[in-house]
Amino acid sequence: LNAYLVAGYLAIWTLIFFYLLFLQKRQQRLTQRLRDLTANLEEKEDQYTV
Amino acid sequence: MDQSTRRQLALAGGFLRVSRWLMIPVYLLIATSLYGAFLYAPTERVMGEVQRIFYFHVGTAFAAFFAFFIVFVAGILYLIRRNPFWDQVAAASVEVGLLFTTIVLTTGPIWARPVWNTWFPWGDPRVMTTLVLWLIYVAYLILRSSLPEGDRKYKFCAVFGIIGFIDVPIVWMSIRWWRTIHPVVITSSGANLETRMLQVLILSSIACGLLLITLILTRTAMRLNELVVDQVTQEAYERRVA
Repeated sequence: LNAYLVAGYLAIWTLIFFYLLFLQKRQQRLTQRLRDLTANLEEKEDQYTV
Repeated sequence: MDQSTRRQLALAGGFLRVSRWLMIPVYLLIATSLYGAFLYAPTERVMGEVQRIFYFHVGTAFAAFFAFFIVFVAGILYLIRRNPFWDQVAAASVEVGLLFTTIVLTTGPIWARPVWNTWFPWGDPRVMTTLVLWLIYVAYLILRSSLPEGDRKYKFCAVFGIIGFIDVPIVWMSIRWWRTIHPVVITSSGANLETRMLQVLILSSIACGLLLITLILTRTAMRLNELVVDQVTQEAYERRVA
């Protein structure tokens, strides 16, 4: 029974693990997009000041 | 865009990179802990199979204490430096710490029912102080959500986090100070555990601690991203109004 329990919990943990990886990947993409956005805004600010 | 926004984004990116790398050892450690708890550790003579929950009950409790310690340190650092970054670290630690305390309060009754013949021993000092700990940090999140963004909110939360931490040593000492049915496993002379049980307990505590750090890093990065989105939106709105 204990071996089945280990297999079951491991399966649940694997699902959580992949969900966390997916979440981290999405956040990384968001951070990159925010960096691009702030860089664009800075460029526009420069154009206004010129 | 000011310097702090760029720094917040750099920190968020760094935290996410580190937490993604940490996920590999965390996965392996949790898998090994599961093997250790169910197959490697011997069955306890009196309590039987249900005692195996102990490895995760205690491991998550240690991790939760560590999370609230981070809240305490981040609160002090915010009050000294007035940098919103420390407030975001504290808030992320409270969220993850609460998750771990909830696991402690859930695994406890599952273990208590067959062993103590009750789901929730209301008179037990350790159970009660842990429940109070959980309520303190639920109140922290309610306070956070009810205050407008800014230094005043961060200051209140920092002070709340520092004072709330007082309950952590009380939870730890409760089984030594008062009469309780909770067993005293770790004493000043060492751990009252069989060698293999102690090995699994140490392994599962490290696994839970590392998982906690990974989650705090991820959540802090998410919070920093949210903060930047708020700042950019606010600036864009002010520019349009002007």
